[in-house]
Amino acid sequence: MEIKQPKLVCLEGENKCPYRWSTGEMVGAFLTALRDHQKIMGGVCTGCGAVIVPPSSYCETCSSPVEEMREVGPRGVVMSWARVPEPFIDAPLPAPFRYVLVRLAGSDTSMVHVAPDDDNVRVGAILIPEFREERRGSITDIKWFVPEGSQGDG
Amino acid sequence: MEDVGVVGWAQTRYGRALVDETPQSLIYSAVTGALDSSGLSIGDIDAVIDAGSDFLDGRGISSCVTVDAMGAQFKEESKVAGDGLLAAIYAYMRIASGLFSSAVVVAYGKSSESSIRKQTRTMAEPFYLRSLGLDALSAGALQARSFMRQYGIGPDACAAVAVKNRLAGVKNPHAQLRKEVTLEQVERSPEIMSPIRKLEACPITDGACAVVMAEGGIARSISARTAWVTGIGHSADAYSPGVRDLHRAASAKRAALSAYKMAGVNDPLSELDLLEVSEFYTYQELMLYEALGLCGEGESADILKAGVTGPGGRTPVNPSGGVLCANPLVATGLVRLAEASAQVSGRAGDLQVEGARKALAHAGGGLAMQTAACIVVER
Ligand SMILES: [Zn+2]
Repeated sequence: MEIKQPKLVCLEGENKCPYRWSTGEMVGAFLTALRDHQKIMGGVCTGCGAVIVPPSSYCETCSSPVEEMREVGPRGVVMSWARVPEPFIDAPLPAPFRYVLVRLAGSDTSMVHVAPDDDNVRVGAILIPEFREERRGSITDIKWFVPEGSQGDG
Repeated sequence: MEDVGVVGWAQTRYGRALVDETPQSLIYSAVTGALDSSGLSIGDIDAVIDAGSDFLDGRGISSCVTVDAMGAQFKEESKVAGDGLLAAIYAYMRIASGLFSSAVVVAYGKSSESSIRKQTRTMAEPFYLRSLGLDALSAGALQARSFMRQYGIGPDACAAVAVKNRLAGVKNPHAQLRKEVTLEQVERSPEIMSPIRKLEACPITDGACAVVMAEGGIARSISARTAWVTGIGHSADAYSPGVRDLHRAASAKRAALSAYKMAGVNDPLSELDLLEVSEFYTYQELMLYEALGLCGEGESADILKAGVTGPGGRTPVNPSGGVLCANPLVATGLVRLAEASAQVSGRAGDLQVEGARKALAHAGGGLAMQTAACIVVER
């Protein structure tokens, strides 16, 4: 049989699968400190001495083990930002908001996080974290970083 | 080490949503087209290296399903989880080792079948980045601002990349977007993730690309116009965007240096006749000028403005129109190799850079250009 004028068909589908991701010790310690103490902990590299925030169990710069933790921040400097104009599924905040790369006091690396869509969120600005009331051991236990002096007003 | 040449290539048509094509049908037409252009038949081929995305396909180990469409049945088949240009590097190594004499490299993507932004979010590890919803676009926007601030690059310089490449794409029969845009149109297009505007981002593209590679003896026997692979390089930067110097494409620099060293290229600006690079966003092409050695630090906007990388310039970049005119994701970098090979073998048709003898093909991967692959081809 010859195929004439084939009917174009798209099959609707979805891949959904739950996960239980193990944090490992270092990430687990970082997330626990956020949840239980509202503290931001960095990892100290045994090789280059860099304070890495958020931490991993090895240094992404020199490959040495990271064994110790040290509290950093809470203040941080904006290194870069990006404005999110439209809402999207899995967004951590209602749009508009901003992504920021923020370098916390005492840290040698920058952390990706979110901030309000406020013109004071610009490169070089000082931000401070605002923690959520209900924390569950997630990077989003920090609701966002807000320009210093303006926390609580949006 | 054996000489290795690119002896055939083909691209499928590209489209925003090719609902009348499956991954297999795209692969099949790319592979048969590439074989036809080489003069070899599938029976002559020893190895098939493919690149696809299980995430985009929505199924695991996707090459099990596509193996027959690739002509890889009962051949040495291996899949690369990355851009097709990396698959070409693997094929090169197989042939250069002397263990294989020829290979088909094929890469494909149907980005339209899922949500591309949601899929690029799966590149983020779950704890620090995915919970925040970071994806390719937002990571790119953070990098764009970091680069622009570091070197005082204005939005007009980034927008000018879109104008240059979209104009070049008008002549490219394979391009998905074949309509030129003005600087004003780019600068007035909506900010999809500031500082990136809509016309500064690559389109969503379905399509596939294949190339055929062969050892010197075979290449010489089937064609007098082979694109010889003379340099390869691949490099990966640190994963976390906040650990890297985000304003530098350090992995692209390393990958290019390896490829240049192998190919004996000392001054890419004068020795290369053109480059085909993977600019998913306009700012990336400027960053790549530096990383690929076309200019010094912070000078990318100057060489663009001076027309060095434009049509008829000293070293045109993306004479095909680049990724801004078609982004068949996963095949994106392999397309650069097909275009570069067409150029150095004098078979680029309307896109031909006159007298082109030596070219670089570049692929980028990961969030904010974490990884890079480079291949130098020459006549
Ligand atoms: Zn270190």
